[in-house]
Amino acid sequence: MKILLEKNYRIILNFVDFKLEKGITLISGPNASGKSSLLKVLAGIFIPDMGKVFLDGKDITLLPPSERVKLGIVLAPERMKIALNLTVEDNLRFSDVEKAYEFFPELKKISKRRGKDLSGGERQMVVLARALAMDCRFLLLDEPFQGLHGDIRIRLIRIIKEISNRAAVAVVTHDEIEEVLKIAEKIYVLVSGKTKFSGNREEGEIVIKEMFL
Amino acid sequence: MLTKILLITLFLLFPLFLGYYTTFIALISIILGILTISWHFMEKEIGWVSFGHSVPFGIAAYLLALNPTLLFLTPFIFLIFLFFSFFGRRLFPFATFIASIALWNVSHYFVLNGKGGEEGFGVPFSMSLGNLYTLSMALLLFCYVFFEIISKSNLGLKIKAVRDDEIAAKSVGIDPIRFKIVGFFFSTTFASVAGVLHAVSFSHVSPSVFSPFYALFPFVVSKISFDKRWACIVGSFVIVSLSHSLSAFLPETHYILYSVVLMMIAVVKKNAENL
Repeated sequence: MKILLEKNYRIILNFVDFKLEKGITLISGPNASGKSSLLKVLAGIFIPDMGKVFLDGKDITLLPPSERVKLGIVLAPERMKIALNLTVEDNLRFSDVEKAYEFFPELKKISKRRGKDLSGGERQMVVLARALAMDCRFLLLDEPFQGLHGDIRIRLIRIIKEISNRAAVAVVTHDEIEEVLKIAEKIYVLVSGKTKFSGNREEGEIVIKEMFL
Repeated sequence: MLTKILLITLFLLFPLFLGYYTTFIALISIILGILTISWHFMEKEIGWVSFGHSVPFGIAAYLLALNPTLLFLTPFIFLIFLFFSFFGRRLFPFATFIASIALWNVSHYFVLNGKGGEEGFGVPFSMSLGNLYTLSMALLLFCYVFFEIISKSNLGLKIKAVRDDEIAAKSVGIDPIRFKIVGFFFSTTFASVAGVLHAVSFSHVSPSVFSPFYALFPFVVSKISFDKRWACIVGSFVIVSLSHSLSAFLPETHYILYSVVLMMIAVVKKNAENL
């Protein structure tokens, strides 16, 4: 797809070529390397300045996020983005509420609490629960471990692995990178908006360990 | 909600049994109550504060006075607000306010050079006070119930999700533009209804329909009503009654009332920040 994305006269993605297939793809890189922007381009939140996004051979570059969700492209955005004045249950109503509670039963106890009254971890669970409960073909997880404590992180890794059996999952993360590396099939490393590495887990692991671990 | 509707109905029925002048003041309060509730929806549910809700209010009034068949244009008034929304949330209140002031001035010129007399354009038909009061009361109740239902519906939920965080809304498949359009449409349509009723109640339309009195009225009433939808109706009665009863002693009293409310808001806000 060779995506070029500019924001405020700064190149965010510099002709990045990216392919998302069934299984888990880890997207790694230092801060401001364009990882989250790449997921937003895939979800339709950012429109690239050059390049195209294809789904099953069909050009979806200009398709709005609402239409992409119908095609099964679901994003769980970073920074715990939920509707702060709506209750937990209202936030989950945008997907399958019961299914969302199955992933995170903890949310049932706080279902009537407003988003703004939740802790960071609780908000993150809402973000993840509604994304995981959607019928997705492509699941884009942006910093999914943010704010979550140990047990829930382990549960989330198990859920990601389960979903990857039927869908393509892209994970952008700074946390639990070693755990995600164990289950990822493909690795992308972005640096300053360019693809520094793309390939299988074995080679990618070496690159990531050299760079970050 | 049923209890509230019943209480509001009783509250609105009461002035109908009083003298002509009191009923007329109550009618103006009801009409401006519709304007305030439509504004309240735009501020609370859609998240866009407008200081120019007199724009749809005044345009609808003028359309009725010029030619009632032109009222078919009122559903498109939301496009003006959609255009202003491209300035962003911060500039939106000022853009709408500037638009209302511009229309206020332009309409002076329009009235003087057009066919309007000194009082403005006459409205081609009239209604008895009792009938107009009953119609306005029914429309106010409808407006209240409509926004209550919308607010609690799936549609309202999506409008509020867009208000809170557009990226979060997009990520769950909500199209922010579509829901902004729907929200603006509902709000400006009811403001237009208020404008039409206002024109009929006065039998003429003068440039004052775009004046800061109408532009700022919903904001002030909403604030003294502690942002409660039902209280906006009572708040509207309070401001209109005070404004009319005091204007005999002190002209343009409403601006003093507005100033007092704005100062109170500033003081309360400062105290809340210091807590």
